[in-house]
Amino acid sequence: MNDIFKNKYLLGVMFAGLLLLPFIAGDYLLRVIIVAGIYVILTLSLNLVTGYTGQFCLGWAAFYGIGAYTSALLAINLKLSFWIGLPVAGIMAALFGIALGIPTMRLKDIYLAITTLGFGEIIRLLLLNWSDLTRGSMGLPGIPAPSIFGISLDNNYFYYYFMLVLVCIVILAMERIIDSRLGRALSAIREDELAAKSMGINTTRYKIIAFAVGAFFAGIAGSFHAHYSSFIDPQSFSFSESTIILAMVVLGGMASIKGSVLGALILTLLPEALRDFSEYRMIVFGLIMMAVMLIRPQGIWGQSKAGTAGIGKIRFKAKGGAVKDAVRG
Amino acid sequence: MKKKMSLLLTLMLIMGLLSGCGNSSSQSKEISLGLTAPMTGDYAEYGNAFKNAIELAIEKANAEGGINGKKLKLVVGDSKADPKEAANIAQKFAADSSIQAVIGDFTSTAAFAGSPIYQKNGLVQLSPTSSHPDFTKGGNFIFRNISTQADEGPIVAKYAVNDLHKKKIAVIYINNDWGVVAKDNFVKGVQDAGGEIVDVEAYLPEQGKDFSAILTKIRDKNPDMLYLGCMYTDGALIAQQTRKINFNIDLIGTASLYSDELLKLGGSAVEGFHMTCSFFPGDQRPEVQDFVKRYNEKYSKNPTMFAAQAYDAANMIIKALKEGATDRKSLRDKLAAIKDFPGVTGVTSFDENRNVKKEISKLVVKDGKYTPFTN
Amino acid sequence: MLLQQIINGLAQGSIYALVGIGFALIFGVLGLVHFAHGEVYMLGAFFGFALISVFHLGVVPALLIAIIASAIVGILVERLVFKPLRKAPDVAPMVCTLGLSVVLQNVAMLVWGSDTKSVPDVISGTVIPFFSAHISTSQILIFAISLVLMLILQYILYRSKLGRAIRATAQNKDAAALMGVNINKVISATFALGSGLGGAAGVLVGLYYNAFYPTMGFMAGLKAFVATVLGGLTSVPGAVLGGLVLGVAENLGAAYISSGYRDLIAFVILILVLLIKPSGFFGRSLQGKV
Repeated sequence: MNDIFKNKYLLGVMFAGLLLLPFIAGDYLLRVIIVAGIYVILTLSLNLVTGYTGQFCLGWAAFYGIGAYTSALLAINLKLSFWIGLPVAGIMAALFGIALGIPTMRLKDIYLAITTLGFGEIIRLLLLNWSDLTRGSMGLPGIPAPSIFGISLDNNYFYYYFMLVLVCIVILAMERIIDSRLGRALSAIREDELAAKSMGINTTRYKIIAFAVGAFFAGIAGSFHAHYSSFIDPQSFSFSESTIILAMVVLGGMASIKGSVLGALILTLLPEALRDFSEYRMIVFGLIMMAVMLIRPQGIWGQSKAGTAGIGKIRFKAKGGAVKDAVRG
Repeated sequence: MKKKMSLLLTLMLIMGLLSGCGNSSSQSKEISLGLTAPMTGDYAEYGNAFKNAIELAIEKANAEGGINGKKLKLVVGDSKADPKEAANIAQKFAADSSIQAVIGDFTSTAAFAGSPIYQKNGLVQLSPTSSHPDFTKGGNFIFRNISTQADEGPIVAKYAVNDLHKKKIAVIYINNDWGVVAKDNFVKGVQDAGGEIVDVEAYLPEQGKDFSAILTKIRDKNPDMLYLGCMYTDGALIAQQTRKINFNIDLIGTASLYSDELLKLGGSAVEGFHMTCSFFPGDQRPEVQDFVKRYNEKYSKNPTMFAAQAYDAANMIIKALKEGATDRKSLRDKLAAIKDFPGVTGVTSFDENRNVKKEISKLVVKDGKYTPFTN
Repeated sequence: MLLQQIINGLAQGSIYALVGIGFALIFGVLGLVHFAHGEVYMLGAFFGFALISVFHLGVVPALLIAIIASAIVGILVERLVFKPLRKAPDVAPMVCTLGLSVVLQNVAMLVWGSDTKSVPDVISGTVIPFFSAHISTSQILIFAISLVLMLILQYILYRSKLGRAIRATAQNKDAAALMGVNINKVISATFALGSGLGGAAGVLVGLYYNAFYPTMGFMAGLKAFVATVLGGLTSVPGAVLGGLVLGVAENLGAAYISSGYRDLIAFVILILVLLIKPSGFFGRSLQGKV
């Protein structure tokens, strides 16, 4: 596969294609691709935590939602510019990521999965019920589009190129992380947390960092989404959404950047293309998740060992060891 | 290697497919109406009611010669009441040049999500049921043909306080965009009329159907009437649960409760249920009788208020088309100019904000049937 | 009002308990969470009601048949999903059952429509005073049937050969295999029992609230899982106690705090338990930190 990417010509063609896309594609296709881009970022962010670090997380849409609401509320209530809202949204989501990471760092696998699911639901219910802050189920309409020096940037060209820039930044950041000491520590944690600890790696610290960074990216995606769609409401950040993002990670392959991009693209573009069959869409998502697990658990581009090995290692022993295994000190 | 190449190719194929869809300018010989509504998912029954009614309207129009000889078609987009879907559909419809106007969405949140796109592309969006107060502020292409809760709420309130002489009223409402607005307006209406609201309880649609905790809490406060801000299914369930615990309190609600389903699901529990409504199949006006008759013939059941709203929406657009609207902009203008349209949901005129005020009547369930309320 | 809320909570809690037992059994034997268990509950409700409304069966026969049908569904899920993935990493069956749950919910919506269905009053509702509150006949029915089912389960687990085999497998799968226990049969039986109970809970809920719909399994499953965690993940009596406690807590919370935040209570309890005492009521205690 790397052959393709090493082929400079093909790479160049793809790159040119991406740059020129807005001029060839109609508004509708452009919109679909922009939305796909948002999901690419979300998938990458979840993959960092679930794929690379081996922390199975089920409530990911919560960070997406926190980012979206932070940015939207800042823009609507405090009239803050999108350019400030975007990073603040990311930071806010990261803070929540840390808040989730700290108490749960001792939990493994299923306990972690369920706790994160619970966290996701709590955030959604808060967004829904705390109407004084979030307007609850009425949602937040009229989120201002980004502007620069007073000129509104409310057109698809801006959104597309900016999304492209964001995606590139996230991909580059992920590659830097994975190739660094942090990344190696995360891989070690994924493969065998016990061994990593005994090698002196501060697993707690690194896991929290993974959550924070992943949440940060998810928050950024949320902010972009809020300003692009100009309307958000709590139901967009539900467990279904988390499931969809997880499906993208699973399909593309855990611990694989290319996989995440591909997974996100396929699961955004395909349902649109098959809009006539949209009543089967969720069924297909579910079937894909099942099929991937049954046939090829590492997904399309995941490495066979990485991403699944470590998580699988701690097999639950149902006897007295159940809880012992569940909670690692 | 081969596998991944073919994957890449598949991806490009999909993109090609999509760009094909997006850019397809349908032959200008066709005229279509767009419908964006939940056809699947939690609110599918309402989306399907819309579709049924609109198809009925289109059938009639085509039988009468179409629009200047051209047959009218319906393009349906399933929004699943999801704002993200609604936005995608909006973009798709905007790019389809055969679509002259769009009816939808069912929920306010989905309608809201589509509005900026419709407005930006100069395509009329007429929602039959979006009752959020800010909806039509989205722009001059955004219309609705339902009274908002700002109109209906006080009427229900006065029905309870003035007509039925209730003093202490409790409220249960569904915590979604519609329910919150309905609740707010009803509560204010009651207070303005001099009544007292003793308790307000919310429930979430996915919370499951157990209202026992809420009902027990409300019963403790001794109200003499219970207002239900919800749709007919939940209304029937709540009514049943009150009777099951021997809590035989008088019930009242809005037009959202009006449906044969309420009677079917609720059985004896909904006897005496009061409600307002803007559409009543028993209405003797010829257009209503014609609609009810044809709806029954085609779909073997009575139309609900939701179907009636969509029917009127479609017919108003058809009227604008027949009056010579040649493109999306002129359609908007002709639609906005409609006054005193004889709709099945009442005589309708759009005001300067593209809202309408409908006559609202009061009903009560007597002997298992809806009857007009008489003082 | 307090007593009334507690009674209501116990009725609801019994349902959580029945579904939670299924989680506990499956977790005890396989160490895995069955994300589609909520859908078995949902299917149970649909089966039961189809039997009552279409075939005009009485409540009890419909319940029994629904239980059997759910048990069969459970075995099918085990064969199709869990068995092939026995050697796979733990994520696999979790993600797979998550996918299955989505598929089942949506297929049900397609087939039956997503609106709430109802069957005209099958259990006549009368209400019996009980101190300062009252119990409805449907509540009594729920308590009674749940109790009977749980007793039957206890009997099977503790007085039958199958039960012994299940408990042995739960304790130590390998040792049990060495002792000649047919692990495959045990696992299938466990799923059958757990799913049967889940299906029964579905029918009971449908009868009690007179409402059932394709997405009813999601929340119920989640809450039942919280109940199981509360009880100690692997313990059947724990799941029962956890279910009852959760039901009561939710009703009290709805009554005294806020009805809107009611679902929140379940999740907050979940997180608190996992953080403070992950072994719940009756789970094994932490053994040795590593």
